[in-house]
Amino acid sequence: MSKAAADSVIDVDPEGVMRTISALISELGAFSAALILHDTVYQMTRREGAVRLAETLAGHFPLYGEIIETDLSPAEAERVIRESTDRLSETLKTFSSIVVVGIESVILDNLTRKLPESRFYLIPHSETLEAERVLANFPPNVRLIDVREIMELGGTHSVLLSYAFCEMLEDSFIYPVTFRAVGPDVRSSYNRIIGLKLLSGYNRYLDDMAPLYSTRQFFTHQFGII
Amino acid sequence: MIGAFLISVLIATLIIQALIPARKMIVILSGATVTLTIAVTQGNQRIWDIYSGVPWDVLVILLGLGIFSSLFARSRLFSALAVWCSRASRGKYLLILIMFSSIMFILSCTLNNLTALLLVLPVLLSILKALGATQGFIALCFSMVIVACNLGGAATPIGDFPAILLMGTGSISFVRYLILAFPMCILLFGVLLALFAVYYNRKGSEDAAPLERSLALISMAKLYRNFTIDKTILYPGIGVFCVMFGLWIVAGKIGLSPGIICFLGVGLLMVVKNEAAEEIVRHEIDFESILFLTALFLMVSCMAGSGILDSVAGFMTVYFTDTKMLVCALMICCGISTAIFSAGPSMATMLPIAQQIIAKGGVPGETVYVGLALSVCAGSSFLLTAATAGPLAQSIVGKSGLTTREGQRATFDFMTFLPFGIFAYTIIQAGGLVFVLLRI
Repeated sequence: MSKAAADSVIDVDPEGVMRTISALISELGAFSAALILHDTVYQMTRREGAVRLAETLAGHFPLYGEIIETDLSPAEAERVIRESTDRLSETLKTFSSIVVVGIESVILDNLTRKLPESRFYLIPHSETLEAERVLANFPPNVRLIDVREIMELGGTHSVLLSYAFCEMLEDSFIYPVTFRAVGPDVRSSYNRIIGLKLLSGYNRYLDDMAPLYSTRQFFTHQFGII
Repeated sequence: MIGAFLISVLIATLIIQALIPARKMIVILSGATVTLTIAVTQGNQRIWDIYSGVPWDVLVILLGLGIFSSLFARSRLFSALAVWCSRASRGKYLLILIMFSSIMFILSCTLNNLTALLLVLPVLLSILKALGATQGFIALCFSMVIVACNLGGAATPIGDFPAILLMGTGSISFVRYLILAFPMCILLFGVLLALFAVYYNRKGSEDAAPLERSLALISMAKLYRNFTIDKTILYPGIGVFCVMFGLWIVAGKIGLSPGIICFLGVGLLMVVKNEAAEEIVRHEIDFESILFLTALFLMVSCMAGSGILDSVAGFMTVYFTDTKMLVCALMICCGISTAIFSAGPSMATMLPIAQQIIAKGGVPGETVYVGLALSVCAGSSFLLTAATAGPLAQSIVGKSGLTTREGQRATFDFMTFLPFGIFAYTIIQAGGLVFVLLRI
């Protein structure tokens, strides 16, 4: 694609792009939405356009910029995530109940099919989702639950998962629902509370955008995804 | 005297239920109780005669098709079709208008349009949200979808209540209705869609930016990434429906009423999908509509028994000496009363009058019946409140939190629909009148 054509593609209103992907962020997860955006833009403009769009969206969707910073093509990112999820499923196969705080479809689509014997309880990170549509995309071993139900699902055969975005040293960004869900009482109910590390390391875009939380405050174990 | 009182009670009941829709069941049941009591005690009518005046076949067909629609909806066919429409539209507004209106027309031809709306609108809302449509386009698109539902419902004898009433009461055969109404409805749908498209182009609306369009289409694909049609419901459903359709065509020759055919077909499908059917019968059947129409039919039966409808028909015949004028007046009355009281009450009241006029001779029955169905369709498209699809669409849009391209909350209400409704009413009513005048 010529530079002029690429320019016309990425010459967009950031708020328009955010409106377009808002349903993806709500129902598939922010990280998954960022990957889809990366894939779409990469197909239209290759890396150069993606980098420039990351600058345009820096104030609105910093997670996209963080993905671009990894220098991975969409296909490479997909491969890395698939391999990590395969390893994660090996770690989780002894648990009968898997409670997940926040939805990231790029991970859960694979995980729920790899572990058909386990029951998955998903706590959405957004209130603006169509529950029926979300569930229709997952196998029958998945249920959506409210954050208030998290305590009664604890026990030795249960594990709790959530996401730690762009971890640096002991700090990371988390979904607000993780902050509400994982309190001291919940930590005592679950043997393992695993933080799935997404884009750990350098964070150029997110650094000034959102508050950091100590990962140790929430997770007993961590697992690197990408 | 009794007849005049009964008709006054009916009109008062219809006005009150239209003014207080939240209490319409209490109003209609109270009206039916008063009418029945007066007809039996003062009008010397026997209760069994009143019951026999109720078109039970119509209620059976409505009930059966309701169960069939719910069962069919579980196959996810509607959602799959809507997702396909989104993809085929390539994110272009004009194609979205054409695709979604067409799909609603087709679905409403055979299935309950409320069920179809409930499953198709969320997909339409998602694509409009992703593309950032303007308020003008949102109003245009949803208005056309509502009109398409009404026209689709009028196109076949099983699409909506007025047509079911005509078939269920034996006024017109399945095949004759299909032959006369379907081409007219297709034609009117095409004309309206073309005019709406011209209006859209005149407004000079622009499509979303290429990146937004690509993202919107990919979003739809991802949001419905693992949506699969349940073939265990779809295939038996289509099979049973085809058998029912075939039997309806030859119903007269084999001596089965349309209601019995519907009962047999739905019963068969319920046996095949017994678990889902049990749940639908327990939780999803629209008993409210059935009860509403039963009360209405009882009131109309009381009126018919009192002889007042004969008097109204006789008065109209005397007043309008020209047959064409008489039929046109009847159709316009039917259209306007549908806009005010909705299709059920309007058709239930007008049909016996039409039957009396036809019985006096000189008027081709089938043409008048299809003309009435088109008038009801016109009236249903006049005001947003005239057909149940309108308030449902208004509610779904309101709850969806849909925003316009300018970031404001999108609205689809009585006033936004009104200009499109008046336009659609004019075209459909005029089309119906031309159809009747050409055939008389």
